[in-house]
Amino acid sequence: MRKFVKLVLGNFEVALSAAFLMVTVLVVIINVILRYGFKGGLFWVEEVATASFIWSVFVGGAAAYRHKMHIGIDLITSLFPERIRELISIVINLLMVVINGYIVYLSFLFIQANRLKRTPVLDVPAIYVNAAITVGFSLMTVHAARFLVAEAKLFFGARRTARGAVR
Amino acid sequence: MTVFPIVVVMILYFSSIPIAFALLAAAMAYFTFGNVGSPPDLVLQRFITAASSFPLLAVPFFIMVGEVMNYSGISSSLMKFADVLTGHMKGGLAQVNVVLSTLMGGISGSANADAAMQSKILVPEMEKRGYGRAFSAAITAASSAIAPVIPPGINLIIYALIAQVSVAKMFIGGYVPGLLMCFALMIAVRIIAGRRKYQPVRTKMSSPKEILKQARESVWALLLPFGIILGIRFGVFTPTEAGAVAVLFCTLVGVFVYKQLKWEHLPIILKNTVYSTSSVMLIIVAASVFGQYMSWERIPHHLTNALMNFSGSPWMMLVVVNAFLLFLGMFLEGGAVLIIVAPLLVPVMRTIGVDLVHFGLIIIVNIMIGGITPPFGSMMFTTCTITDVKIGDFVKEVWPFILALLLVLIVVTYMPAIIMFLPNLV
Repeated sequence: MRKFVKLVLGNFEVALSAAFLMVTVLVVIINVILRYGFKGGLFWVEEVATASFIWSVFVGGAAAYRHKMHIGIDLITSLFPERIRELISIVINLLMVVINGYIVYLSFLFIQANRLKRTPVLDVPAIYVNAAITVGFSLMTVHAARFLVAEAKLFFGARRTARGAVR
Repeated sequence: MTVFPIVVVMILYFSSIPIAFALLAAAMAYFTFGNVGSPPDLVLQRFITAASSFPLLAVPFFIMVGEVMNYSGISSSLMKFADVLTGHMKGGLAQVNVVLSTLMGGISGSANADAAMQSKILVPEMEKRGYGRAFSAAITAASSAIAPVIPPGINLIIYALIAQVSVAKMFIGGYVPGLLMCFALMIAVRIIAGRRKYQPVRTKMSSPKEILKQARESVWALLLPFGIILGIRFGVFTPTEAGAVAVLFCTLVGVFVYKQLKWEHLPIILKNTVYSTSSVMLIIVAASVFGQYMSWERIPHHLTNALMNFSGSPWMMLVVVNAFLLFLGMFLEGGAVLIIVAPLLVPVMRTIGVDLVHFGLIIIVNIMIGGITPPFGSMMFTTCTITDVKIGDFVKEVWPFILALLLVLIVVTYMPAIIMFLPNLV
């Protein structure tokens, strides 16, 4: 149990995403049990399951990004010498900051445009679902920026030590 | 027709940006700078609609089933069963490797999870018994291609949703191609093992009594796939509910029957499920957004016309399509190929009169072969990383298996009578 708590604190995105996923699984299971065991399903199951899943996907996407689980291929980049590879990697991370940041910006416009919309079954404001995009892509932007800073530090720091060695 | 987004995707992808982000970037660039007269923030509606489909929930559920299975003792029970069945053959452990992937396919449907599990468990054992490590890694990767074809499988579900065919038909249709892959690999192993004198693990064939005893021990795992398929077929539950019920079932079996599943396994199961699910789902979302661009530019329509001008014969068309898919599979992960390309090819197939369930089985067998071919095969990377085998050595050992699976692909493509027999019964 202690291990469990530690893991939750250390991996808050995974934990959050997993919690949403558990909600998704549990409501679907409970609905099947109710339907066969008690002759009555719950009308809101689909909406809760899918909304919860959307949160799980976008927050989980950020977790996967943080732990570099989205695979890219280095087929071409690996042909270059190390210094240039590092530089490419910096450019790529800069691009990732721009892409994800742009989606965050658009998500605010999107939420604004849909502020009066409500979900079809439970009739709650659509922002409770739509905000998943904002949260997920904000987290991804933050991680991309962190990678960018770390790599830039490495790149420019490494040059300093290389020069130092030559003296 | 603007093709710049397609070029952008290729440039970004080959400069090592993950495919989901390459697709998103290209599509967002199109809607921002492409003068389409639709504000780019409207496209974000797609992010939500693409992910908020109840049938799609079957995907995370079956991913989770596979993870639960690995910690519930179901895997090791299936391994004993595979050993009883094939341990006496030449190249015994390699045969066990193939049969185990086939049996595991009946519960989980992830080739990478299967490749990872067997790389950790079977490859060291094979090395101890004198098999080459590169050979062991090659057969592990090649056989893991079977698991997603045997129902239930995530790709079968995703294709069914894309092509709007019945999930039950796709599930049942997976059996024959999956078993053909299993037999083809077993024959390849037999030939190689005979030449290299790889010895059996058991001195003689197990008696029917032994097989029955082990089958009884693994009965929960062996019957689950049939329960799922029958349940869907007779409307007891939807495929999504079947996935959720399977999660519950595997958990209960792990806790109460094999008594191996513990609370401490929960974090790792959830973590792996979250990673796999969100990776797949981000690609689905991104491909759907990119699909907005493609339909805006009427690319599926143009593609169908171009292909129809090229050849109207289904026979020839399937040669071209298979070659194209194999080529893509060399660079792109199989699931991504399916998600991006299937929506484009399904209308073409409908026009030339290829059965869509049949086509789905072709495309799924095809993309699995891509997973073990260089330069970029996801199962190849998984096994090579875990077993510490060089890609070059792996390739030297894997080619007979690629050949065997290509033969299966030809059968699957051109003998619909065998392949479609089971799904047509449904």
